[in-house]
Amino acid sequence: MNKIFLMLMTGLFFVTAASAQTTPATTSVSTITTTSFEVNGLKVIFKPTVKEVISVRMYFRGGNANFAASQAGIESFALKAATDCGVKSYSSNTFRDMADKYNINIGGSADYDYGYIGLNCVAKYFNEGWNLFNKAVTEPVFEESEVQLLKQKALAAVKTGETNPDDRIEKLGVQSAFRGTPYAYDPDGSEETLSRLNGIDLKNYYYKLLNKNRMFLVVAGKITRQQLEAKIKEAFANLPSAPYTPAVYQNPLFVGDKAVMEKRDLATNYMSAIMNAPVMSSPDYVPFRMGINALSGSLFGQLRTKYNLSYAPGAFSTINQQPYAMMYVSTTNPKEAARIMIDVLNRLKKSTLTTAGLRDMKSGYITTNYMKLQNSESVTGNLGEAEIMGDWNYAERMPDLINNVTPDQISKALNKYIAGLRWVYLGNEAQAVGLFN
Amino acid sequence: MTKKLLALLYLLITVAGLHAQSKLPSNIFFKKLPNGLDVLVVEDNSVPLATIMLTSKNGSYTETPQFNGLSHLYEHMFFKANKDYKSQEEFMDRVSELGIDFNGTTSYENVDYYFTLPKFNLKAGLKFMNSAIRYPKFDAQEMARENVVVDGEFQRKESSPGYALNEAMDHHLWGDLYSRKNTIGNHDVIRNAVPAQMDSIKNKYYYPNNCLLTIAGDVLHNDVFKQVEMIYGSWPASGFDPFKKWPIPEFKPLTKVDNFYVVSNLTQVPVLEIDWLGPDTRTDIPATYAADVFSYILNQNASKFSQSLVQSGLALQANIGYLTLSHVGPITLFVVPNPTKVKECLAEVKRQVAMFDAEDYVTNEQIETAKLKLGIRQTEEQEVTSDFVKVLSFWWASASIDYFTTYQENLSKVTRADMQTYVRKYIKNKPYCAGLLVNSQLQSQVPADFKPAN
Repeated sequence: MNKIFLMLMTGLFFVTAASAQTTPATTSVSTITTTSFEVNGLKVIFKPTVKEVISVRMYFRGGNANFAASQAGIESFALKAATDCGVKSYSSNTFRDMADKYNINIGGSADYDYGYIGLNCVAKYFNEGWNLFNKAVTEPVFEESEVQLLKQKALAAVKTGETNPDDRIEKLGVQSAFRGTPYAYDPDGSEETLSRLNGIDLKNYYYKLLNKNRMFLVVAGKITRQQLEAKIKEAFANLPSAPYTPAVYQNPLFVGDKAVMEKRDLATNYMSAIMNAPVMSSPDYVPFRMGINALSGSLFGQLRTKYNLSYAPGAFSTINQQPYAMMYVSTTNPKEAARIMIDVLNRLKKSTLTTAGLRDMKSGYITTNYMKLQNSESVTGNLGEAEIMGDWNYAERMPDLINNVTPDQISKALNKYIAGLRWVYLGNEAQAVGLFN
Repeated sequence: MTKKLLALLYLLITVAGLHAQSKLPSNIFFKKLPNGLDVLVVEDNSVPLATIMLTSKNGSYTETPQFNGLSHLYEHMFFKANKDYKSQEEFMDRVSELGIDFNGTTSYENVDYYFTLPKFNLKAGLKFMNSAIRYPKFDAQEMARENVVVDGEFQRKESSPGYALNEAMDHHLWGDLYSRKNTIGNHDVIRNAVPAQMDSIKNKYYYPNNCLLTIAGDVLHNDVFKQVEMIYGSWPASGFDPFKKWPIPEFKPLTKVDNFYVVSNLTQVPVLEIDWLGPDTRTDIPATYAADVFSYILNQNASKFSQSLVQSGLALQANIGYLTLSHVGPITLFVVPNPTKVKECLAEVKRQVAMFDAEDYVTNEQIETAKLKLGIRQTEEQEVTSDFVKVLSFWWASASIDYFTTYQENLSKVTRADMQTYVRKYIKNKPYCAGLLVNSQLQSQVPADFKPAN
């Protein structure tokens, strides 16, 4: 509903040779301040910062692998309810009022591979924020009346999400491409699955999830390790401990092209193609990611700049246990756009990035990487996601790894992973006739 | 979410004879060049980056219907050919070489352009910005292509569930001056735009005496001021005030309550929006402070407003916000009614509005909490320097930097009586526009006084 800002696309990188301008060599970025330690058996990842905002996230491993399709959305709902439906020490209203007073932001969320309860607040009121955060983690009570109110909001959010074309097309694509895996159902659930859940279901689910062997804590902000350790010792001394076996994923390999369509009466059409991608722990991960950056820049150059077929073309790759890359476009001429997308992709797979083009891409990466480091919440998000994928150090080492990538590695990675495409189309039916034949 | 909350902005005022430097925080520095260019430097050495943002007082408020959407198109043309970079491809190559993350935004009263780049490229970045802002080429072929791209952006906007209500509300609220509050513009105007129109915008608004240049990040203000003077000092002033030469027309007061409803099958939930014409920074600065404190009270969980609407189960979401502008900021009450209780929810909203000025509607504790929260919010806004420049730009355009620096101080003075004055002057028993967005299945829930359909 925001009418204030009308955004351009950002961060574009081209595969063309740059001019002879000499770019100063960027020094290798190694963030040495992040540390990891255990407190009472709970893994903690900590990065001190100089900014006034502190971000804390308690992660729970597993995500969709923790529940069956018939319970889709239960983890997301339970984690939201943990922060919104009362704790032993405070009623839901008192909890919210205390958070309100100091602009303390506490919330829960779940994605395909993990869930978390997060806290953001200014350093000056960290004690107040921490007090609420640790109670949301250790003693949520899931008041039934509050759960029912939250359920109404969750149902509305699911319905609203379906009407956002960008959100819908990605979810539809993932569900279709990963059929038969835990990614085939939405982490936020559906109307059907959410409607069945009540406070008791959430409570039972949450207290099984509460197991320090599947949990870890990530903190970034203006606080010392000593202060933090003291707080963790006090708050999480009695976390339950039970055996935890991480899920094993069988990532489907896309062979040949397939398409899914959903008719929508929109002013423009939305189209995307999902591709296989390497996991973060793979040596192919960084070269592939750089290759997808190049693909994004090329799509922009062709679809927007050269042929003015789209305002928002691009590509990205994800960090997931079952990772994927996606190229996307919104256009009133889907046939021509699809033809160009395929052409750009094929040409990129057959070519090799120029040294200058790669150098510029790396330079752009350094900028966006530092931009993320300005924000405590981004820092905890990056570290947490990397830890879920196997090691928080992946996030720390990323700048160095990117600096060492070669054009040949990029070409090999793209060719190794990109074979079949899983197309998704949202829009005018008539304009899609024969589109994917 | 209200426009206010979504925009992350709120505040401001006129730019007459201010001495911002005397009240600026210790890491922010201000200088006005002889040609009238305002320059702000924000020192923050937490990461080795610099952000350069150029802001012009331009945007939809300057647009007649014939120019509706062209401030935004101009913003797109900035990132294309200019005197020093012969084509968009050359421009983009330079973006890549300098490791730039860039963007532009067009809003009601300001247009921003920014580059964030490694600090060692600051000088090159300042020169690059100078080429783009002072010497755009408006190449006819590039522009013809971009017209279609901008129209594509418009189509994406139209594909979002909330668009139909926003569009209808703007027509109802602003009447003949709709174009002055419609940043995305008009399809025909955009599709048929020509370079001469871009020249016209440049010759009215793109002068140093109508712009702010902000440099923020791991920089030293004295060095930056020197570089800026060297590069931008030769930019000639216009010799006129564009807002005296081409005054922004005054928005007419609403004359009656205007209820309407909009049917769009893009929405899955009903949405109610009620808008009043609020204060502005040219005519009623005290009311802008009262508006912010009042909004922050009502949006608290403990407020009567939240308890009676959200905690009661009548609404899934209820917020109120005021958008601080120099030319009539709207007061927006945004509610997502429980789909099974639309009529009851609407009745409760009306009941609450009628009590807004009651002596016991807000508690002393809620007033203090609101002020505290607004102060914390200011701290949070400064966390990400590359974003903070956008907030500063907004304040500068719609009010002044001084408004920002004295904001906390002025909030702390707001009393219950000030808020009652604000409510009685702008909200209670005042004409408003109320729009209800429903899909075809929810049409039966529309109350009689919202019919006929828009």
